[in-house]
Amino acid sequence: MKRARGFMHRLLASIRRDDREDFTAELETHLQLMIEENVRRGLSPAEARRAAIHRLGGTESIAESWHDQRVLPLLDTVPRDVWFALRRLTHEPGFATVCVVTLALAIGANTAIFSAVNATLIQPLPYPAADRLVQVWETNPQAERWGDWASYPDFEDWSRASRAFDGLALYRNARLRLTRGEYPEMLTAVRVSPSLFSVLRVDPMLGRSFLAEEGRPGRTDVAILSYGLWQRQFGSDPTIIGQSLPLDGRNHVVVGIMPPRFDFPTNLQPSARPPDVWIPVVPDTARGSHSYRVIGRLKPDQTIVQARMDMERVVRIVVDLDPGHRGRGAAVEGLQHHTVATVRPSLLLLMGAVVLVLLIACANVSGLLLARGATRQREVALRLALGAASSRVLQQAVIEGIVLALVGAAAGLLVAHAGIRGLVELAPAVPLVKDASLDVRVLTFTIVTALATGIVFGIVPTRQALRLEANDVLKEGGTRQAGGARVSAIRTAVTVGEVALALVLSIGAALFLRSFANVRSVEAGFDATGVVTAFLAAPPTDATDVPRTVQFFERVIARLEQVPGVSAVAASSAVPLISNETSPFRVEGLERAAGQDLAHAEQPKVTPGYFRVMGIGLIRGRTFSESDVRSGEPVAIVSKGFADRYWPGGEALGKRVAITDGTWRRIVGIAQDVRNDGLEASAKPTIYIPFGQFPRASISLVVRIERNSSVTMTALRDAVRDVAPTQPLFGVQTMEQVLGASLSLRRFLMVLIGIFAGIAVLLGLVGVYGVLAYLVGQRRQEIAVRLALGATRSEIVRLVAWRGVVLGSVGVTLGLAVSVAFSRVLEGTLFGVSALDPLTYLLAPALLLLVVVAASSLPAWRATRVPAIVALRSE
Amino acid sequence: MGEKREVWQGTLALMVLRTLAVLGPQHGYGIKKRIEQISADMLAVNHGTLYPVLLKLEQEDSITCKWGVSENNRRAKFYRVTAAGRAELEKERRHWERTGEIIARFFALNGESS
Repeated sequence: MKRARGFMHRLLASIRRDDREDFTAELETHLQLMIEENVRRGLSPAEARRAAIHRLGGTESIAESWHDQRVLPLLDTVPRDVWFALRRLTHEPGFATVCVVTLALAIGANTAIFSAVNATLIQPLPYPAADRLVQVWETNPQAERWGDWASYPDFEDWSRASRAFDGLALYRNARLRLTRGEYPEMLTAVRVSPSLFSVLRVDPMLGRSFLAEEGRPGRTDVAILSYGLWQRQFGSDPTIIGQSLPLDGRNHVVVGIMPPRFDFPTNLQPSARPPDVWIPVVPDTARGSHSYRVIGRLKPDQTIVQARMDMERVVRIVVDLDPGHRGRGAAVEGLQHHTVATVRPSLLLLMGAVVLVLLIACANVSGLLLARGATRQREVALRLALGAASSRVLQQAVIEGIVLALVGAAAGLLVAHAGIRGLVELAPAVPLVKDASLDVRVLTFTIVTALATGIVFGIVPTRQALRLEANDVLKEGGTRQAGGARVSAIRTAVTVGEVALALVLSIGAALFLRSFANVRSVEAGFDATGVVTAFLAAPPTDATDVPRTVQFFERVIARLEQVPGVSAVAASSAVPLISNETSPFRVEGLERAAGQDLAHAEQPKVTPGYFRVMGIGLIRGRTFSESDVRSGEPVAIVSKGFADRYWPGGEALGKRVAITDGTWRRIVGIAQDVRNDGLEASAKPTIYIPFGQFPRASISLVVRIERNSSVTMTALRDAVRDVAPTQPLFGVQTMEQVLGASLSLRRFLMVLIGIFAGIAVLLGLVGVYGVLAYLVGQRRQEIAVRLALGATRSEIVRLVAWRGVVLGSVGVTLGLAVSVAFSRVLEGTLFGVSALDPLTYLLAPALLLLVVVAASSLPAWRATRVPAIVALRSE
Repeated sequence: MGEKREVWQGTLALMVLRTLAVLGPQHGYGIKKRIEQISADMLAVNHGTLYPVLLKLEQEDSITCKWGVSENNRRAKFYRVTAAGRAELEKERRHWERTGEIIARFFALNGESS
């Protein structure tokens, strides 16, 4: 109570005007009364006065401590110190600019990277209690199957028997043709179980979500629209609810509109178009068709581990009912955790790299402050001698550091703002990164970083000054700086650290550069140059009839081949890096034990020209021809990997395989392996089926453009419209774009680590230059004396440059040790190069050492220019 | 008799309060003289100690001050004890009495060694 009252008084006194004068007046009265008393005692007025002043002592220091007690010292002194620091910075514009720019780059880069980390790894998904959301998929170690998919019957089994979830939902992406107005529009659609919206806990903004039975045969077709589509196509007309919409030729009743920012599931899928419409999924019974993703919401009292145990129980029940399930399992992972699993190591690596950059920047600014601090030691010593508390001196220095760092951080936010936009551009392959922004958490990160760096800046140089005896400094006088040797030693140590960190980053950058080059030179198995792809669906009237579907696409292909500049056109149900068609298969004579699941393979359905257009080489046998139709013999072409696997060392030609339709197909050709899932993934075993024998209603067209000619997209669209006015060509892109996009994460890593390494080397160079220039400045007189005594210029150069070489060598050795120690961190993210690649570990240090020597040559040269007169000056 | 003893801060506050309570408003120099007088000059009150104590008491609302004119026509700051100050003084008085009693009992002990 008493204490609280005291605090309030002090707080008020801090805000009110300075009343030290008041106290001085009081002390003056005190003095006068003492003098009067002394006079009464019989002293002469002069003596009385002297005696009183002697008793009273220095009133200044009493007034100072009285004031400190009267107010809250921090509140009183901090604004003064801030003001003082700002004034000092404006008086040294060069110094201030270098510091602020260095800090702005480092803090800005840290803020930008942290905002990406924040958006992907920290920020929860934009749904209520998003940490309860999980993804569930079927595993089967015996079947060679990949991905995190589930089949519709899986979903039904799990929904029925599991106890760990408040709800499960499934979805798959689809395309739907909206025929409204003059041109048909291809919509990004999502087929979902009606439970999806309740699992995510997001309700439509208008209307309702799906009813449990919607999607089952016999029910009216319904659809929920995205806010974007509603605005774009219907001018935000609320009466659209209840109206019919022709989607893929069938009328769907609009039952709801989702809120503006709802874009599940494409927010989880980098570089996907936001969804336009959600429609109920149609139940199926195809156990082998793993084309859905399943998400669930854990019950409040359930953990992921408990959910995994629950799913094990569910799988056992299903196996008991249906022995065909033997060997299967189910995986459960946090939805966000699973979504960002592939990019997490890269992002954390970048965060680590950018923190190193910040450390180097701190070292640099500390070095500058140390050098300046040395010239300020006399000032500090003087203040200490005049009775300033050392805590006050330190406080002022720390505040100066913080002010500097905060100014740097403010400029850094501008850098970060531009950086974030660059990041999002550069990293289309990183899920959720689109939401990166300067939110409260990122700003907090920036401010805390700035404060921490500022405190370091302030304390380090000033502690240095405080440790000196005030007397020594004052005695030395002149321009000689006391403690110069020690300052120089500290700066040297800091610079060695900078060189070491710069080497760590350079080695990292070199390894990522080599990885990128390695990925680029990987044999993709197809020739991307000059190939354009696009999606096209057969009209509903033709799609239900097999011969008519085949004829439709034949007509489109024939028409496209007439477009000038087009050399060949083909179609496939799956194109490398764009789409998959993964299904089980059987090999004749290699029957699996009953109850074992079937192995999976890619099974694209391709037209005869496909291999030629895509540049996929045929190793043996023949390619498909126009005569491989339904009435002909069922045939297939397999990839080399597939043939080697099932007939190692033997002959695959003439053997038979069966895919989902169960027909035995004779292998007539063996094709080169193709890296279907990207250059960094291995080639998947592939069985090619003639389109004429197994047509699909929607396909990817591949168009090879003649060398040195260009074909506009409009020309392709117009050609398709001639044949199929109702069917839009969509998703048009060149294969080279597709290939480029598949490398974007790697390019992103390489570019950023490269930039960071560049900044690090630059800062290290400035650091080395600074410490040597300081050294030369300190030893001017000595150098002049040496020159006067006959030392040659080359000896002087060696004297200075040698310091640079020693400094560089120690730094490089330290950096090598650190790189080796942390090389394991990189292992998972490199491609085709060891984390301890000898070439990199030889070249990077050598180059860095060269840079260090270059940085030391200017101060060394300057040392030889010291005029002889300096030797004579007594300081 | 040896050197005068310096007063330690906690008890000085108590002495200041008591002096003001008994003698009415006083300026800083007056308080110093009174305390030295009452202690029969066994204590020396340093102004470097006195004024911080006055400020502390003021911040705790135990005393208030006002500029006025001293007996010999000087402008001086007069301190006066407040109601809160009197209550505090009463509390302190009881505390000291009890402490004194307890200490006295210990000195009254008659051990074998004495």
